[in-house]
Formats: sequence, C-alpha cells, structure tokens
Amino acid sequence: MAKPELLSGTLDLLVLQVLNGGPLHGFAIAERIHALSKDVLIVEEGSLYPSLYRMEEKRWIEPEWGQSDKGRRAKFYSLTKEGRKQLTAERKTWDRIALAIGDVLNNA
Amino acid sequence: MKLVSRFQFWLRAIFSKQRRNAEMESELQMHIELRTERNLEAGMSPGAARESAIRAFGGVDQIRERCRDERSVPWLDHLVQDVHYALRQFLRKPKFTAIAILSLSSGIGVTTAVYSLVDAKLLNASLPVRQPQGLALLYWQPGIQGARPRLFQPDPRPDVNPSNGQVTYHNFSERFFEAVGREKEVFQDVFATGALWVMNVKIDNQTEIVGSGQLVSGNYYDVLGVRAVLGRTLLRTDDVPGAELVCVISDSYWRKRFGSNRGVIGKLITVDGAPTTIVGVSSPGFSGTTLIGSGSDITLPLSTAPRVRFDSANVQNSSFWWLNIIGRLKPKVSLDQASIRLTGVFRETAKLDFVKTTNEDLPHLGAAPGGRNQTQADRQRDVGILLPMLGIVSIVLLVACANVANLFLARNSSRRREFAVRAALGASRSRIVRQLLTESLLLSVFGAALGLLLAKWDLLLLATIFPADVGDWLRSLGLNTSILGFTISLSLLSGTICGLTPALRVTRSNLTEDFQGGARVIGIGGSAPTKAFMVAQISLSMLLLVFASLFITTLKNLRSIDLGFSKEHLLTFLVIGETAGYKPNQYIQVHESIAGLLSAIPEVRSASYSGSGLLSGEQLPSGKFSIIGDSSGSGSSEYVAWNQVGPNFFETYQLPMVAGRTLGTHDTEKSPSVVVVNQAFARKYFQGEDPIGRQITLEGTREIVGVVRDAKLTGAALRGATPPMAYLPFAQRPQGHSRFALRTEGDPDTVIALVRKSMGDFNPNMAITSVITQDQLVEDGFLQERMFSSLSAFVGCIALALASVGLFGLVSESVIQRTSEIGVRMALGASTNRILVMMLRESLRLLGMGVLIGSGLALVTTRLIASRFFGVAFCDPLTYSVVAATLIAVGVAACWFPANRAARIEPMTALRCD
Repeated sequence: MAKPELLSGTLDLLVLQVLNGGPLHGFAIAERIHALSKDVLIVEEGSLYPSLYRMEEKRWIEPEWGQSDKGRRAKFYSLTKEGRKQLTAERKTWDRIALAIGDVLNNA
Repeated sequence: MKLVSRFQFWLRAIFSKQRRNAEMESELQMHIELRTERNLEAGMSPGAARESAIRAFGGVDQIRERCRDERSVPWLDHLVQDVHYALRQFLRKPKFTAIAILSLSSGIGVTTAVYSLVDAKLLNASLPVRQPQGLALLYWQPGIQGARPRLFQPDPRPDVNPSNGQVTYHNFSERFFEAVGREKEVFQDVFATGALWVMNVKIDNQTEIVGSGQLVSGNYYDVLGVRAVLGRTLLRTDDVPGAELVCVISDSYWRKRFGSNRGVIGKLITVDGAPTTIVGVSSPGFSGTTLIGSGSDITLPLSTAPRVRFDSANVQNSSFWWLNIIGRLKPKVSLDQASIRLTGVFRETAKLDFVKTTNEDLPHLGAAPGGRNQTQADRQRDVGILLPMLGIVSIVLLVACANVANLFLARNSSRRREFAVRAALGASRSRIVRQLLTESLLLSVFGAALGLLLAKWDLLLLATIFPADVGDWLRSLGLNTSILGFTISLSLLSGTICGLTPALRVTRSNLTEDFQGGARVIGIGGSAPTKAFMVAQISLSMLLLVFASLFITTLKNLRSIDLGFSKEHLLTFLVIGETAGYKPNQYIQVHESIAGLLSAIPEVRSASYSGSGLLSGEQLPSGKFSIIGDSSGSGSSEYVAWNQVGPNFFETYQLPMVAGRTLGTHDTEKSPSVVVVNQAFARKYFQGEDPIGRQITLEGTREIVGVVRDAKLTGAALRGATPPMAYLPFAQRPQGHSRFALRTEGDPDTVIALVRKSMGDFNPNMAITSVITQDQLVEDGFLQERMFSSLSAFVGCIALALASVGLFGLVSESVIQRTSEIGVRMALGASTNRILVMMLRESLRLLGMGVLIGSGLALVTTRLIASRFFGVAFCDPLTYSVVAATLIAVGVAACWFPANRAARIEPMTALRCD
C-alpha cells in the first residue's frame, strides 16, 4: 500500500503535538511521528529540520544541548509557552477542517 | 532600545555563524547515523544501511540550504557571501567589469560635477559665517508711483522679478541704519556695508585696479563671527572718525596678489589715494556678504568712506541711500516680524528723503534671508542654467545604466547554467535575485568611487567653459556630505536600474531548458529587454546630440549676426577718472588728452571713447524724449536709449553714416546741442521724413545732425530687432568714466603694453581696467550658449560612445549565440554577404527605432527650451537628419566588425561547436 504523503503545513502541528509530551531530539521526533501514526505517515526525515529551525526562530520551541540515551551529544527541543499556545490554536483549526472535510465526504 | 538589541543579535549571529553551522551539521549527521544504526539492527548490510538512511533523509544539500534560510539574519549572512561571490565573478571577467565600471563612473562623475554646482549655488548657498540662517537682509520696494529717494545709489545688480517687473532695492540711508540700531526689539546687532566697486590701489609704487572692495561698519566681523587667519579683523574702534586708516584683505586676494606672504601685515598700501595699513587677512572662503563665488578683496571701515569714495559729499550725507543693512535676528523674531516692526521707522525716513511722496506711494520694507545674499534675479538665472545642465548630464547617466544593464543581461544569459545549478541545489528565487542585485550594486559603488574622482576632473573641464572668475571658484569647490550623499544615492539608484531587470529575467527562465544549454536564440540578442535597453541608449544619445547640434547652430548663428560695426582689430578698456581724483570740470579735458595720446601710438589707426561700451554688458542710459513740432503726438513721451560718444567714435567702430554728418571735435559744451540717431529711430519716429535738422528734447533740446547705420549695441538687441538709439556728443554730456576703443593695424593684443605705458605717462595714479578686445566682449555675451553647446556636445559624445560599445557588445554576443545557426545557413548555401546583411539588418532596425523614439523625445524636450535657440527651429529637419545619419553611421560601424566576423565563420567549425 502506498503511504500517503504528509499534507503541507501539518508537519509543524505534528511536531508541536509530539513535543507536548516532553523534550526530544530530531531523530526521536521523526520516530515518534512514525510510531504514533502507526507507520502510516512518513515524513521525508530531512524536511523535519527546516521545520524545527523555523519554529525555533519563531520561539515556539527552544533547543538545548544534552546527552541522548546512548550517551551522544544531541540537540533537544522543548515547547515554549508560545509554542503551547500555537499548538492549541493549530489544533482547533485542524479539527475544524477535518470535521468539515469529513462532512463533505460523508454527505456528498 | 529595540534596535540596539536587534543589532547585538545580528552581531552575535554573524560571529557565531561558524559554530551554528557546525552544530547544524552534527545534528543532521547524528540523525543519519542513528537511522543507519536502526537499519543495522534490522539486519541490513553496513553499506545498504547507510544508503537507505540517506535516502530516507532526502537531499542533504537541499535540507542544509533550507535550514540556513530558516535561520535569522540570513540577509546579512548572505550579503557577506554575495559580496564575496560577486568580487570573484568580477575578477573572473575583468573586461566586463572594467567596461561596466567605466560606463557607470563616466555617468556618475559628470552628474556629480554638475550637482556640486547646483549644491553650491542653489541648495547650500550660505555664507561661511556663524549661523547664517539667523541673518536678515533688509530691502525695500517702491510704491505704485515708483517714487525713489532724492539721493540714491542704484544697485549695481538691480533685483528685478521677471514675472511682474517688481524691483527690489537693498540700499538705505545712514539715517535709517542708525534708527535700526536704536530699535532693540528686532536685532541682536546690525551692520551696514557700502560698495567700493573699482579701486585704484597702489602697492609698492605700482598702481593697479582692484575690482571689488567694501566699506563695513565696525561690528561687521563680530556679528558675522568671521575671524582673521592672519593678523586681526576690523574692530569697532577702527570705525570712528579720525581713526588710523586700516583694511582687511580676503584670503583669496592674499594668495593671488601677495603669494600668501605673512609679511603683508603692517604693509602700507594706497586705496584711491588714501594710505591704508593692512591689519589682517580674513578666514579662507569668506569674501564678504556679496554674491557667492565672487566678493570683496579689500574691506575698509565705513568711517573711511569720505576719503576713498569719489562721491565723498554724498557719503557724508545721512540722506544718501547707499548702504546695505544686515542684522542678526533676536531669538523668536521672524523675518516678517522684523520688517513689520521696522516699517514705522522706515517710513519716517522715507518721508524725509523721498521725492514728494503721498501716503499711498510710500515704499514697502521687507526682510530676506541674509545668510545667502543671493538676489532673486541671480537665483533665477542660476536655476535657468543649472537645472537644464543637471537634466542633460543625468541623461548620460541613464545611457550608462542602460549600457550596464545590457552587459548584465548578456553576461547572465551565459551564466544560466550556473543559476540552474544553484536553484537545483536549493537556492530560492529571491536568493538569486539578491545575488545579482548585489553584483550590480557593488559594481555601481565602484563606479561611484571612480566617479567621484572623475567628478573633480569634470569640474575642471566645466571650469573652462565658465568665465574666469567663476572658473576659479569652480576649481576650489570641494566635496561635502550633501554631494557625497547625492553620489551614493545615484550609485544605489543606478545599481538598481541596471541590475533589477536582468536579475528578474534570469530567475523567470525555465530550469530544465537551461540545463540543456539554453534555448536557441533567434534574432539579435534575442531578449526583449536587451533590445529595449539598446533602443533606450540610442534614443537618449539622439536626444543629447540634437541638443548639442541645436546649441552649436545657435552659437554659429549668433556669431555670424551682422553687428553693424566691425569688431575685429578693436581693443577696448575702461578708464575711471573719478577714483583718480579728477573733478567733474576736468572730465572732458582728461578724455580728450587720453584719446590724443593713444592715437599717437603708431599701431593705432584711430581712438575714441563712449560712456558705455558696445555689447559690453554695461547698462546704456535711457531718457524720455519728445520731438519738437510733432503734431501726431507719437513719441511725445517715449523712452530711448542713448550713449555719449567722443569724437571719431563712428569712424573708430566703423559705423557708417547714412545721412547728415558725424560727431566730432567741433561739438563742444559751448557749441549748439546736437544728436545723431540710428536708422531704427528715423524709421520709427519720422516714417520716411528727413529727420536731419529736426529738434528733439533729450537731455536738453538738440538738433538731429546725422543718421547712422543700425548697430547691435546690447545683448538684447542681438537676438531681436535693433531698438531706436541716440548718440550724444560726450562733451555735451560728460562723465568721469568711459570705455575707450582703439582700432589697431594688427593684432589688438600687441598694443596693450604700449597703451599701459601711455596711460602711466599720462597719470601714474590712474589705472585702466577691463582690457579686452571687442571680439572677446561679443564672445562673452554668448556665455550661456557656449556652456550649453559644449556641455551637451561633451556628454553627447560620451553617450554615443557608450551606445556604440553597447551595440558592439550586443552584436558580438549574438554572433556567438548564433554560430551554429550561421553555420547551417552557410552550409545551405547562404553567401558571406547575405550573412553580413542579416546581422546588420537587425542592428539597423534597433538604430532606426532608437532614432525615431529619440526624435520624438527631442521634439518634446527642445520645445520647452525653444526660446534658447536662435536662427534655428527646435524641430529643424536638417539638424534631425544630420544627427540621425551620424548616429546610424556610428552604429553601423560599431556592428561591422562582429558582423564581419560572423560572415567569415567556417561552416564546419560552426556546426561542430556546442
């Protein structure tokens, strides 16, 4: 089965949602998205990073260098207060759209 | 505050760039490593594990570029990169870089040079004094009847508003000056100046004429805040009756006359017969409150006036209106308030001094900015000269920009593959546009830097087309922040103009096509913007050349006007008897003696003199006249210009008599009053009747004894009809000064030394001034025309050269691009000539379009200044055709070489290339 590509613009939302659970480094974020979507959603792993840098510029997430579980030096991202606000806002928007699309598909 | 913190952020960003790049690199690498480990755990071979990890990651290079783009301050980051890259590009193509920089700098240079004139004359025309904006210059305007003071010294440069003819005077009486001094609510302090136009100055037993001097009240230097560079300035204690005679000289006079000798302090010189000690040299750049660019060489205290002015009775009379008044305004007092508060005092004095004034006819007082002291008429004249000049030179700048834009277009099209690669590597469109704009801006910054150097050189060239004193002033003009700012804005503007279109064009093109080696271009240069820029260059060159051509024709026509007298072999100079101490009853005798002495010089055929010179710029007097016994009433109260002329005047100037007799030695103060009129006079007032023997009143009642041929005596008459004119015998209307004229056998310049010697023998205290040939006098009257024709010819040639280089480059480029096409054509049997014609036809089409558009532009713009042309219509077909033919000829010549190269291509080589 062909795996669906990620809708553009939704990557930020997924990353924010994943980080809501606690600080993670880039690879872990990618893995978590895979796992949570039961391997349905694939992220072209590299494109995660521009998204992370963008959100870092917007101060939604903030990085910190720390030790990974395997003892490597890794960059961990955590949600800021603004990021949390952004997540709530984007979720609401997403829910509305999903609902609307669902309605259209069911009733057309 | 916010700005500061942002700035710190940028700074940190730049300096931590290296570290941040390393961090990003390790972050991305770690991701790939972790994925590889996962893959290994899943049982892949080491090679396959890594390969799959990289595939899952996506294009590492693109990701890296996108990450960088997301980070802050990319523009500064990129700027450094772009500049670095641009410099490398420039070095790689030195020929392109050199041509582009030279093009821009020639345009920027000449524009900056003219702008520095505009800056000095119009924008920052303030005196080099303390707080020039706080100074107010008083003036007055006559009431409806035009009543004037009884004792009045007219302004040497009357300030007439050209639109309504309203005259503004700047002369006041001493009585009024003292009254203003008593008024404490308006000025902190106020000073007066009086003119000393022509002085006989004796230095080390040598008498010479100094053209400009002034008398000032003792507080002059103090109020202006001007210091002495050597010695001291004038003090209040110098300006009291009976004080020792002292003077201050200007820095430029000190350099010019005394070679900056410091021993000049304490030196005794004689000014108009009064022994005076030089006590100081005023600071450089300051030469009085008169017109900017010229000024007073010698400044004396006002109390000296009776001893150095020839009209000593006048200047001791407190009703004589001759002083200019400038005051430093109190804080919060405006110019309007100042004039309103002083109006009461002004009208009191006007009532005392004016010829029968009614209340309605009282003059009005006004106050103008005093730190500029440039009269309205001066300003208007300068605007009329400088703004068209700035317009003309900025056209060259436009041509240069178009030229560089085309160079960029051509170069960018050969760089398309490079841009395609960069885009594929993740560079965004805006990033590439920025890169290209950086290149063009950087280029124009270099152009501006070189242009500033060229501007100095251009200014020296400009100085040669201005009269000598203005030329000297031009050479002394330096850089200032306003000029620097102007040049920088010019370079930014031109950089954007010549870079934007090429940059936008490149990024619009199709990537895949570019990878495949670029689309085959059909036609010359191919792209529409290239052609548009080329046509723009040609049409602007056309415009400039039409200007130049029309001005040159105007000048030629003016030079070939029949003046009515012969201007060749004629030497003229001013003799001023008043300052040499002669009294009015001696004037006739002095003039006759000098004329006699000068005619005795062997090389001089005849000598004479007149109150005003011919075409010398000296004002002709005019007076009301009426014809006695004239019943028709015409000419009952008309004004006519007249001139008082010595014996042999008509013979010396070779002005032939038409009827009656000439004026000679027998017309004395005791003989009957006579007058000679010109043909225009006879025509206008006697309509075919014989005027000889008729009587008119003009400076008394006189009989017309002769009619002389019409001659152009003034600049105004030169361009229009000759106005009626009357010639009075000098002896019947004498004055202390006059312009002498000598008709010489050979070159007039050779007799100058002999003339000086004769004059020295006659009276060593009397100097002659304004020694000039009549030829040169006439030529000086064509100053504006000469300036405009030289300037537009100069810049027209630059524009033509730029356009030719552009055309040459364009055709060369298209030959390279079309090599294989030409090969195919030749292989199919096209002859060498056909190829040549094909290549030329394209450029001819551009030339034709340029000429057409240029003609249209020229018609529209020359129409606006049609009044400046003489004897040639602004739409003169001959001018347009000659200019068009020249342009096309030069253009074809520029295309010939590359086109010829195209025609000589070997078909096989051509087909193999690419």
